[in-house]
Formats: sequence, structure tokens, C-alpha cells
Amino acid sequence: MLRYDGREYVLTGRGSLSDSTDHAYIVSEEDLRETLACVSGYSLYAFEQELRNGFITVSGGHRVGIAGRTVMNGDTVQCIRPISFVNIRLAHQVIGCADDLIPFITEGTDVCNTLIISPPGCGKTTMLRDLIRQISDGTEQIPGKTVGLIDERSEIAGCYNGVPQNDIGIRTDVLDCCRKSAGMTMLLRSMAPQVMAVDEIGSPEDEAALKGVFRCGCRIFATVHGNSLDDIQKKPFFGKLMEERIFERFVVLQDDGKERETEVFNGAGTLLFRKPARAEKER
Amino acid sequence: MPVTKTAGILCVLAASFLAGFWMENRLKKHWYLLRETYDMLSFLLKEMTFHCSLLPEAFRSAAAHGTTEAADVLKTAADQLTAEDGRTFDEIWKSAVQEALPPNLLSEEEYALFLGLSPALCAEDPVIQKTLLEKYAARFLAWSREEEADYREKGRLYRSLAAAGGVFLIILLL
Repeated sequence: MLRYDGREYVLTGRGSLSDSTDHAYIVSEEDLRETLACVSGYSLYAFEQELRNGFITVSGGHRVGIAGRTVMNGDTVQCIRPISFVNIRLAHQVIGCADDLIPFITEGTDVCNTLIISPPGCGKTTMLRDLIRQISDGTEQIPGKTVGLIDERSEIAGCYNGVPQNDIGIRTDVLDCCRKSAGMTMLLRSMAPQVMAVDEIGSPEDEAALKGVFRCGCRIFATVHGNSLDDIQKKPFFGKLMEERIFERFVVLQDDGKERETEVFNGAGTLLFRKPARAEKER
Repeated sequence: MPVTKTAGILCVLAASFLAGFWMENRLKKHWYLLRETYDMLSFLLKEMTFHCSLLPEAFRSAAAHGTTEAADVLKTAADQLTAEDGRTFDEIWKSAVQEALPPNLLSEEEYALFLGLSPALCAEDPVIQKTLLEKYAARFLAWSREEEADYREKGRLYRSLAAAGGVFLIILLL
């Protein structure tokens, strides 16, 4: 099944696309096995850790998600065997999607600690990626800054064989497939980042690590699942971060399926910028 | 003694030594091929376990210091894998073996096992893959040890017999 631009198509036995599932080609066990061998470069052993996490990142930054019967070892997934389902997600980087945010998340030549809030599927990772790229490369307003990126699920840089498949800027160092809390400490000690970027924070370990980064004077870009600033403030984890006033800017992305809106708030909750849905669509 | 007779004697001696040397060398080559196959499988196991390098790169690393046809097989397979022509790994491996390894260098059983290394080199389950690699490596090691013992026992014998045969032929002719 192929999903594109909001519509679904099936592949027929002849290789053409059809709207009707009656003509769909039925994938066999052998087809799945060959697909996995092909996407992994015949090297599934090299992706053992990723397979346990349920995905493989391939050349180009595309993700191949897998599902099937899991074999558990206590609370951790030991392996997924047999693999019965494959979901190939084609990566698409949106260069320039953070253009409108840059003036509101910078002060002079410095960047503000920024938290991007959005529900799933609204583009917070895409937005974070472009923010990282622009801050790392530098803009007309600010010089380029060294960015340390902890890419726990290989979604932002999309590293394949250690090489980022997405443009994340010339001054960005990436810790791929590393836990956020451990990664922040490692990068602080070894790579001297001016900005630390992490995706989807929410655990107590993340909180402790973020505080450590903040105290070292390193700026922070992070994302979190949520519907609004009020929604986030109700969560215990963020309540503590709010008390310490770690984040100076909040970017809220909202998408109700028809329209997407972008808002930027300062640390006190005052609205600084709103990009309405119509402007997004026209763009 | 006429010059022709001397030349003839020298030719017979040379031929007999060369024949003995050829037979000894054939044993040695067989031993080296089995030994290098074991070395490469062990190397691949370490590459897969510790470096997790992709298969074509692992093949090239394993074949880098090889001198026998086993290294040629790995290099050929690595080239065909990176060509990405849509063939399955099994097809690529068999094609590489048939192209780079003449069947007369190994016994029938050894050649069949070499051809059948495919599940150990590319498998869906990394744990089973490593187990199979260890098993096949152990098999090749056992064979190489048998072949080494055979070479040490028979190599010198072949040379001696060939030289003796040459001398006997000279005496007969004289």
C-alpha cells in the first residue's frame, strides 16, 4: 500500500497503481525477507540495535519501520521475529520552514532556549531540523554556532553508516541512537557545543540532564508532545522546568488536519508571533 | 658421455623434480585455501560482532590480506553486492563462487559447503547467523588441519618419490 498526499493506492501484480484493493499484490514471506535484506544492504546484523527499536534508517535518511512478534527479555525487546510488517517512510526535509521563527528565538547574536510544542505529526521534528541547520550555518542576523545534536531515534539527522542524510548544518555534531540524558553529558564534555538540541523530552533523566546543560551556559533546543503551552504546564516534568525558567521561548505548532498554525511565546507566556494557517498554506 | 645423453639426463631429473614439486604444491595450495577460508570466516564474524560494518565492506576487509581464491570470491561478491542489480544474496554468492573459485581446487564436499555459506553470510536473524558462521569456520579449520597433516606427510614423500623415479628412469635408459 502506498500513501501519498493524503490518498492511498495499492500496487498490483503488474506493478501499476490502483485505487481498488481487489487488485492488490499479496506480499509473501519471501518478498518481506528480500526487502529487509535489500534495505539493510544485506547486513541485518549491523542493525541489531535499530531492529530492537523497531526501525532501520537507510541511505537518504528514509526510515523502514518493522513490526511482528516480539521476543521480550524482561522489560526490554530482545528481537522481533518473525518480521511480518514493514512501513517505509520517505524522508523529506523542508528547507526554510523555520525562517519565520529565527528573529523571535534570537536576541542579538545569541539564541534563546527554545521548546517546540506540538501534537504528533505536526512537524516539530521537521521544524527542529531546520532550526538546527540555520543556527549551525548562521544567518544574516547571527553567526554560526556549534550545535550538539542527540538524535536518539535517528529522525533528525537520519544518519546512515555514521553520515547524516539530512542537511543539519556545518557546525553540528551528532550522537546517533544515543539516550538523551547520557548523550547530553557526553557532548557537553567532549564537543563544546554552544547549542544542545534534543527531540521529545519527557523523562526525569531528561530533566536532570537539561538542568546540567543549562547550568553550563549552553543554549537548548528541544521538542515535546503537547497541544498547547497550558497543556505542557500541567505536566509535572515541565512544571519544574518552568519554575526554573529554563526555556525562554515556546513555539507551538497546531494542526487540526485542515489548517496549521505557528505561534511563538516568550518565557512569561506572552505571544510574540503568530503565523496563521492561510499563510502556511500559501507558502 | 655424449652431450645429448647428459642433456637428456638433466631433462629427466628436472622433470621428475618439477613433477614432485607440482604434486607437493597442489597439496599446499589446497591446505592454504582451506586455512584462508577459515581465517576469513573468523574475520567476518569479528567484523559483524564488533564493527557492524556493512557486508560489502566486511568482505573487502576480510579479503584485503588474502592471497588465495577465497579472497577473490569475497572481492567479487562485494563488487556484485554494491552493484545493486536486484538479485538475491544467494544468487550473488553462487555467482561469485562460480566465477572466482575453480571447482577442481576443492573436494566435492568442500566446494558444496563453500557454495552453501550463503545463510551464514546473510541471514534474517543475527544470532543464528553468527552461530552458523562459527560452525562453518570450525568445519573449515578442521579440514585445513587434516590437509596440513596430509601435506607434511605426503609433500616430502612426493618430492622424494619423483626424484627417485627420475633417477631410476635414468638408470634404465643408460
